[in-house]
Amino acid sequence: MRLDLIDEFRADLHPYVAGEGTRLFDDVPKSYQLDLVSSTPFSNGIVGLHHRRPR
Amino acid sequence: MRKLIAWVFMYSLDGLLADEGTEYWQFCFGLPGDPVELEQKLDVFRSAYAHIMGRVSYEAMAVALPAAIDHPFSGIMNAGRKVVFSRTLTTAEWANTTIAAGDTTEEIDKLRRGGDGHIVVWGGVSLWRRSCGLT
Repeated sequence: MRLDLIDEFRADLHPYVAGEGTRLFDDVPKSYQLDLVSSTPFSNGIVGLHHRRPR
Repeated sequence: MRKLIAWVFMYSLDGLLADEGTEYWQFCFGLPGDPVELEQKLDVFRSAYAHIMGRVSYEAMAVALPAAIDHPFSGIMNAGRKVVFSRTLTTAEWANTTIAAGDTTEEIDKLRRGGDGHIVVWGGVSLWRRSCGLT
C-alpha cells in the first residue's frame, strides 16, 4: 500500500512570518526530498511554489 | 494513474497555515489578487478529474460556494466531481458530491485508478496528513 499518496505540493508562500498557525507537516516520521517544478512570483508578494515527489 | 495535487493557499515563511480569525488570516485575505495567480489555480481546478476534501473543509465550501456566484471558484466547484472523506456524514447536499467512508488510502486509490489527469486535495490538514501517510 502506498502511503505517500500526494504527488505534487503547491503552496502559496506569503510574505509573512506568522508566529502562530497550524504546521502542515507535524510529526513527520521521516524527511524526504522533493523536486522543484516551478516557482512563480506574483505582484502581490506571493510566491507560488510547485514541488513534486520523485517517483 | 491520476496524480494527487495538494494546494495550500496560505503558507507563511515560517511554514504555518493560517488559522481562521488570526492576524495572519486577515493579512492573507487583505492581499490584493493577482489575475495571473488566479488563472493558474483555475486551470488546475477546472481540469481536475475530482476534488477531494475532509468533512470540515467540505462543510465550509458547501455552505459558501453554491450561493457565492461571484466567487471565482464557485462555478468550477459546484459543477466538479467532489468526494468528501467522512465516517460521520450520511448525506451530502452539495451537487456532484459523494461520501467516502472507507479507509482513506483505499478510497483514494480507487479514485486514482482508471485514468490520467489529476485530483485536487483541498484539505484540511488532517486529510493532507493522512494522504501523506503521516498519521
